[in-house]
Amino acid sequence: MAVPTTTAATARSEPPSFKRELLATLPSLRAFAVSLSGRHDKADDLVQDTVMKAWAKQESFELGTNIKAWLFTILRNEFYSQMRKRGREVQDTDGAFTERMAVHPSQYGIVDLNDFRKALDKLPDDQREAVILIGASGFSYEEAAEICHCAIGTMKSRVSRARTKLQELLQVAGQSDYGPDAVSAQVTTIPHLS
Amino acid sequence: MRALYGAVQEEGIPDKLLDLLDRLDEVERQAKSAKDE
Repeated sequence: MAVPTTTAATARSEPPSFKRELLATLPSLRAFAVSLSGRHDKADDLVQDTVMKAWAKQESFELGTNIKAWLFTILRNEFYSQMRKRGREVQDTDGAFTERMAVHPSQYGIVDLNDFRKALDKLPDDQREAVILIGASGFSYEEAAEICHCAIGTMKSRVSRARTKLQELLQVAGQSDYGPDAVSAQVTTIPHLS
Repeated sequence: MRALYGAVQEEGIPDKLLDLLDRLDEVERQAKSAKDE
């Protein structure tokens, strides 16, 4: 008689579980937390609180529906709740976020990213979260509006104002200016000859 | 924006969050088995 073993095939055929769906969303949820709080240590505490709240409320979540939007909503509510309790703190005072960004090996536009992070921090909270949800987290305007408890038109307006403000702060004319400078671009685009 | 966000995603999930999920899962399993007995 064959002994059942865990294989990739059986793993794939496993029914969806709350834990598995939560686990799959954690990287994105954590990135959102870092974007909001500006610090990795605070972001991880925030994600931890969110996981515990979500776990306690899992009966109210229907498996197969949009767990990402549900978790982002919980995290966002938790973030603003904690901010109200503690008062607004200065973000990234020790440069924890930008320091980590600077050592990331896959980024060649290091200065651009640091500048971008600083510009992002200068946006009002509602505009910052709007541009993060739409521009990075991959949510639709409808989903982002639901997460932020606002109308779709309001969300579109916030994103538009955020983009305009970012362009002003970074003094760029368009998306192409967010990439590497001319010298870096040559290095990264011209194939090496052996 | 996506590079900034993607860099954090690529860092992986800290052990303390994975441990938390395992603990929550274990507590739930124990509660279920106690209920079934």
